[in-house]
Amino acid sequence: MANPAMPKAPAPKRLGAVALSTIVAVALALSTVLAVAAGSLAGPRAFAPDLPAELLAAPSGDVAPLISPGAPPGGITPP
Amino acid sequence: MTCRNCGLEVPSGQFCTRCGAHQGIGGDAGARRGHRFAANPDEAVDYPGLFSSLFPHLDSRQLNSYRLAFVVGLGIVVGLFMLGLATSAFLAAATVLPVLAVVFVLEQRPVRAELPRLLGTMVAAPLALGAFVGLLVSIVSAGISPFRGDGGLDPGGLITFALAIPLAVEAIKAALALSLRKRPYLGETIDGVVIGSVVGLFFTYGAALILFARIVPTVDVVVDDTRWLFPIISAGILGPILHAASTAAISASLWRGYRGDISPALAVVLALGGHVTFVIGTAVVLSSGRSPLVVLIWQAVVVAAELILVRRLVHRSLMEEAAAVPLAPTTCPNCRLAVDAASFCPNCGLAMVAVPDSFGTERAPVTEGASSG
Repeated sequence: MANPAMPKAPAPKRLGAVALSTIVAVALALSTVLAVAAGSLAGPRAFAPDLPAELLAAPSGDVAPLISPGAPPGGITPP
Repeated sequence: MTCRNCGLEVPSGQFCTRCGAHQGIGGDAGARRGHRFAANPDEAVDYPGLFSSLFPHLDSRQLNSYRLAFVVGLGIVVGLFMLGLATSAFLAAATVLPVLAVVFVLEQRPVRAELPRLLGTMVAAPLALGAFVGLLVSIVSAGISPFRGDGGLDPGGLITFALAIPLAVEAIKAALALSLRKRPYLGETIDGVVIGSVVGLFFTYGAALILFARIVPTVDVVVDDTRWLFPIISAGILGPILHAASTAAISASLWRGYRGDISPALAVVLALGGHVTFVIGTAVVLSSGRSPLVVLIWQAVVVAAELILVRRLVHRSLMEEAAAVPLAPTTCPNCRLAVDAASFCPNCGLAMVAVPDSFGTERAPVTEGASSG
């Protein structure tokens, strides 16, 4: 049973919210650098596909066939 | 006092330290204690908490830290999106949960000798397999689509994308997770839940990297299209949670031949059904021409249901598999009170198997013990 005579024990040393948030922020900063660098290397695009609908149709987001209603198989198509 | 459920003599408290039954509530409701999740008694069982479901070893303080870090990550994703950096926001969204998953595993301090195998099976292998499957499906999608040219649904394509691929993917993830079932220090069902969750997250991360590689050449670094928010949430957040939850549920069902009120076969069917339903619903809504917001709502509902399935499996397994350990003075990591506890904290009802630092670590051998009924 709970022993009221004993004070609450201190929490063990673990990563706090600030440390965890910092780790996440650093990881996302790195991913952003990677994404921007990859996008810049690819150069200017000749067309802008209707990507949002295509992405949303990717079954469960896991396998990403860029498909959308009305689009031919294979997905991305210049307008 | 005498427990109202198991009839054993136990230290007085709100909960029986042997079987976990709530003493203030009689009968089956007290034994099931659906209002107090055994891995986190501050929450109910049927509550779709993300981190307390996928990482049940986290105590209440750690849960708050992980939630805050997740919110910070989402804030960064929204910030990138507001700046028009759509592809960056997508990659960032897909990165948040895997990063937190790795931190969780390392924070648990698993036995050092097992760490390479754990990380290889839970992180590297699913990442590689997810990328491989992503590539394969992108090849398949060049010839097959679940949509006809007029926007309607194509039965053959729908069966491929909503049935064949999800079932194959779930089989791969489950095989990976279950390959660790016989490893030392991983004997509890909640260990299987953690492994399934991490495998699911990294499998989708591998597929997301392939998706990212496919969209980068076709989309400018900065775009002005607010509709990007929908696929970012769907493919970057909801999809990974679905995969983590479905693999966790399958893994939990088969880890120890769990014998609770949901049979392993039913739990596997429900987990697979959730994945299939997720995809079919998405395709049906899209083909009907409704707003992508409806898709997200549908996906969120299915994800919540999958998380609740995981929680039910975790809760019942913790109640059923309580080890017959002797009473000992300890400090509950949840309520932080000094108590005399065996399998459950008599004050808050936390299952002592679900305490922090117990994933992949040395502990007393598991024995069949207290019964909830």
